[in-house]
Amino acid sequence: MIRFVLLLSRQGKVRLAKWYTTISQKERAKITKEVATVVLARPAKLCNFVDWKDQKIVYKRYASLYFIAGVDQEDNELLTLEIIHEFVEVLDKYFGNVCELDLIFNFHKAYFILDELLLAGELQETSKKAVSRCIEAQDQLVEQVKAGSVTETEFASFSGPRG
Amino acid sequence: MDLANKVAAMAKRTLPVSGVFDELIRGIGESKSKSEEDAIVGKLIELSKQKIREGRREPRSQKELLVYLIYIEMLGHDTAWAQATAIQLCSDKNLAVKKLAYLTVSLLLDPASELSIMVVATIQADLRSDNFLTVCTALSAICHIASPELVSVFLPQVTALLRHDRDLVKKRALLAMQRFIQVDPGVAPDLERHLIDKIGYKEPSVMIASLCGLRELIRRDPAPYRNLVHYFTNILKQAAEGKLGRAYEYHRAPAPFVQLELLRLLGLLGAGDRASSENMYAVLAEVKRRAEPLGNNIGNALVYECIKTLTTIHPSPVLVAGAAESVSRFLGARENNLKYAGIDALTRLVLIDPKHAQDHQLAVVDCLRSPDVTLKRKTLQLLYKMAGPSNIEVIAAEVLVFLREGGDEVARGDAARSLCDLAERYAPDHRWFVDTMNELFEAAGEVVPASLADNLTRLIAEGTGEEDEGADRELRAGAVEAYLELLDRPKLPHVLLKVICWVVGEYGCLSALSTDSVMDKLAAIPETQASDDEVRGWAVSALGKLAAQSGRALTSDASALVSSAAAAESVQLQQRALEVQALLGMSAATQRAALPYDAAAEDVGVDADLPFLDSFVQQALQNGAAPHLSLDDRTAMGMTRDDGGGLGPLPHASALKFQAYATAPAPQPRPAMPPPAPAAAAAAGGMDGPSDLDVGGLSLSQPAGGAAAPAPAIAAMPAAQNSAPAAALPSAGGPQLILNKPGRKWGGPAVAAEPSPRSGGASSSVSSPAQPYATSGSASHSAAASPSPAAAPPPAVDAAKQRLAASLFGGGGSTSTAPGLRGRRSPAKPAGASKPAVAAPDLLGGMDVSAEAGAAAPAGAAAPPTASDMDLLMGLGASVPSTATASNTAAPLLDPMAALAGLGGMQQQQRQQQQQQQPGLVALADLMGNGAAVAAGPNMQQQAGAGLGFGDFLADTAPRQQPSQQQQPAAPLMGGPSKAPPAAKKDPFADLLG
Repeated sequence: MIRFVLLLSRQGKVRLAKWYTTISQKERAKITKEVATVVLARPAKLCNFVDWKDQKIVYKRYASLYFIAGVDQEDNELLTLEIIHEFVEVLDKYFGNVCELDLIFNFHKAYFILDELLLAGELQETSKKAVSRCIEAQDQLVEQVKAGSVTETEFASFSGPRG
Repeated sequence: MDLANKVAAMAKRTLPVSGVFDELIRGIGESKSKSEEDAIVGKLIELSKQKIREGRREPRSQKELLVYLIYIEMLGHDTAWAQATAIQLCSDKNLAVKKLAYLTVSLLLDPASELSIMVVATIQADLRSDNFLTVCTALSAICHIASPELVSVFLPQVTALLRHDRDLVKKRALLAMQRFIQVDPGVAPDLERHLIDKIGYKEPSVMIASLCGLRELIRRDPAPYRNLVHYFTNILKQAAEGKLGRAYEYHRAPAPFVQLELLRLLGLLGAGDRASSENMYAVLAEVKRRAEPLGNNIGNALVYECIKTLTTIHPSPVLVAGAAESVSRFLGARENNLKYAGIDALTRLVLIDPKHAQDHQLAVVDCLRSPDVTLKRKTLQLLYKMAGPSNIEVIAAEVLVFLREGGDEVARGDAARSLCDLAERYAPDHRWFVDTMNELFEAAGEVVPASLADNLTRLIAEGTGEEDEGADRELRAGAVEAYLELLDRPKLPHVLLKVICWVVGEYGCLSALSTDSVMDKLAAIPETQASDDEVRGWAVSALGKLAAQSGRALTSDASALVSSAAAAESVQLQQRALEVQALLGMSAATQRAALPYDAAAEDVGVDADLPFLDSFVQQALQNGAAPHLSLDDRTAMGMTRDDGGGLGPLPHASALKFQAYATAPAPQPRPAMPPPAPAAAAAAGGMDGPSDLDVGGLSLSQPAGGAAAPAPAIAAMPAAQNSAPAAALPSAGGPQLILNKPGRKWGGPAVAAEPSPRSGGASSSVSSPAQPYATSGSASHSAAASPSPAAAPPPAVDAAKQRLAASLFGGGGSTSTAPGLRGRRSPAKPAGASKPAVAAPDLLGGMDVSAEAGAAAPAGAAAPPTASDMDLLMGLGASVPSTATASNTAAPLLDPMAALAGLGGMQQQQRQQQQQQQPGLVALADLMGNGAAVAAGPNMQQQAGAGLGFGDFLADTAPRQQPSQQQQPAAPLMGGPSKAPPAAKKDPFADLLG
């Protein structure tokens, strides 16, 4: 199973962190730090896997973001790479050309999408379309609740970072 | 685009938060230092706390707060102060707030936290909700907070949700069940039926969710689920044919994630079960055939998983051959990811049939030389599986190179352990073993397990085990020379320094150098090496031994070291130095009795009752001392204590509460001991007041104050006895120096096991188990000689690489062409051919026993722990405090006991401890060695089988140049958009999905 998913910027800043095993907060901070050192130090063109302690780290760099997953020893690394890729594809579909800024300012959405994709460390939905559908449904529901309370001017002020 | 869509699109990219937060995030993005960032987070925390205080009820404000919390947590700051608020918000009516609150809780809350109980009621209420999204959210939350106590709370509701009319809910309920099984395997029987029910469900995503749960069950015990194999193969076939629908297609592969899940299940079910395995062959071949032409990453992932599966199940020759082809495609790829998968797959294939490795030797050597540590490490794992007597020297050299390069501590530790394991199993001779171990200590001393040092010293102390004193002497002298030479180098690791001190101390007189210069070298250790008190202690003891055995005085340097150590802060070091000084002041006979030459491996019987003290005890009792109460007696009387260090209560005992410091070694008061002080006082001859109690009493109060003082020394002995069988059994992973076999050869039993049925083709010519070395050596020699002209290598291939490959995969013949690989070894001594001259006599000797056993049961002689083995274990356990206790308990007894009350007494006791440590090292190693040998039976057979197959030399040395099938378009990397102005948003995305 997948033990954690981490999104790190090139500078090692955490953009998203999701843990599927029961470990303490302190331990999480430690792992984040160590994994960041290991992954960020690896030159390009090497393989996307690192044996690390009792687990394997599978990572892939998309533009300035590192998508990192810690998996069990017996897991299929190539497959994990594809799960990461699927996550990126869904993000891309949802945000329509995703970039790091989307994840910085909308990290809770990224968490929701990840939750639709992975549950308890297992791939819960293998169909990209189904994931997107589910997220859209939730968004619509939220919009219905919001309807009327949100005005165009407010949107303008919120969308500042994206221009 | 109509307005509604536009608004929806914008909504995706808007935050539910204010511009303040926006600014703070920007600030963090731009902050240069950690303190700057912390200051901003501090502001954020202040803001959140303010919000909590205000307690505004409108959704916007609440969402803002939750987003703040997630962000603060993500940056690694404490959020305990807000957890209760987040939990509270889970019960909010607004779904958006609720979802966000659940997410926050799952991120913030430590799963072990007691606060998670507080969410339970909210979740239960939400599970009953009419809105399926609320239910889904609650089910996700369950997966996060599930703990063994909570499983039974949620189980009924979750089970009921399997009848929900939404598939989405069913799916999540099934996944929650999987989580339940993970945290509490006890619920498995209740859930089994539900999971199996859903295998046939029409909606694929629900069906897949049930497979995840079943995997948990099957992983625990596959046997009851073998009847499901034909369901799984059916589904797999449909999935591979694309019948699950286009929605599940991913990069042209039909439902690949489903296929992978099923492949994994089949692997678990087919392992060790021939009938089920045979049912899978057809579908496995089909899946692989369809995945192969995809050529993209997901296709390769499928092929790789197919190989994993078909190597786990009962092997089918056809499939294995197909797998070998895929492996060569992987290894020939340009991408490192595929090479990695290829090496891993090859490692699996080699376990089935070692011949596969030969086809890929150059690719393997390439990977070994790759700058990518991951790949290198994986390749080393392959080498471990391939290792055998014929290529151990090359492999050991490779591992040492890897270790010298440094890197990750865990990786180095693994490599060091594997090397020890292999060296102990396949070492061609003792000298090689000692040399290799020395290099290992030097290269990776910090990651080598301490037990290995014990093994090495033990090996040197016991020698070859045969009655060949000359060979032993040669081995020891060689080791001493090597170590004295090593001492000239700077920065030796501690483990190695200790081994050096011990060996030189014990056998320094064998050196060509004079005893004086050996002493000087030892005395120089604290200056030339970065040593701590521990190493100095070893050096001091070694000097003491040298001086005692040779009958010479310490040199001036050496006595300077000893006297400085005698004034050291470390009590242990001081003690050792004082002992050495005291001992060297005694007569030569006493010295030799205390520290005899080459007696570390002798067995000495010890009577734990210490009968020689009986008369003294009688006297003390007559003088009014209280009779000794054993620990059991005291426990029975309710006067319990925790360790053996209890003396009479100290004068100030009542003033300070020692009770609280239960683990401290300091003397503990025994509240209810009837007349404690007189006991010790009487024992000490009533000499001094209570202030001297701890000195006088320590060595003398044996009968009265309890076995208190000698307890640490003596208690170790029965403990060792008791733990001997226990230690022997579970140490399978430990070092496996097999020295107590009649052969006393590391390779002995393993080699005997080699002609096992598994080794197949290559070694099938080996008929008599008694001569595997000779056979494989000559076979490989002749094989190497004849086909080599035919197999003219293509000019492009690096000659050095060829040689390495040849020595790795080939065996004797070609190694001689590569003498440079290990400079220290003489070129005239290649792995196979010339070795039998040296090794055969030993081996044959070692094999008379094992050959019979090997004939009867191919598992080899190593397997069953015979009665005599056990006796030996016990005997060694008993002899732990061997020489020391015996010799010096005998000697000082003659002295008047009164003399012991002072420092002399203390020294005697200290000496006991110290000397006990050294033989203890050896004895422990012995135990370990035996235990491992016993436990390693089946494992070793497999390894040996894998190892021998490389007897004959490959005909085909040409590299397989497979054109890389597919090439991932290198994603263009853009500068970090975090720095880019918002307007630049347009382009960075194209490259995100290269």
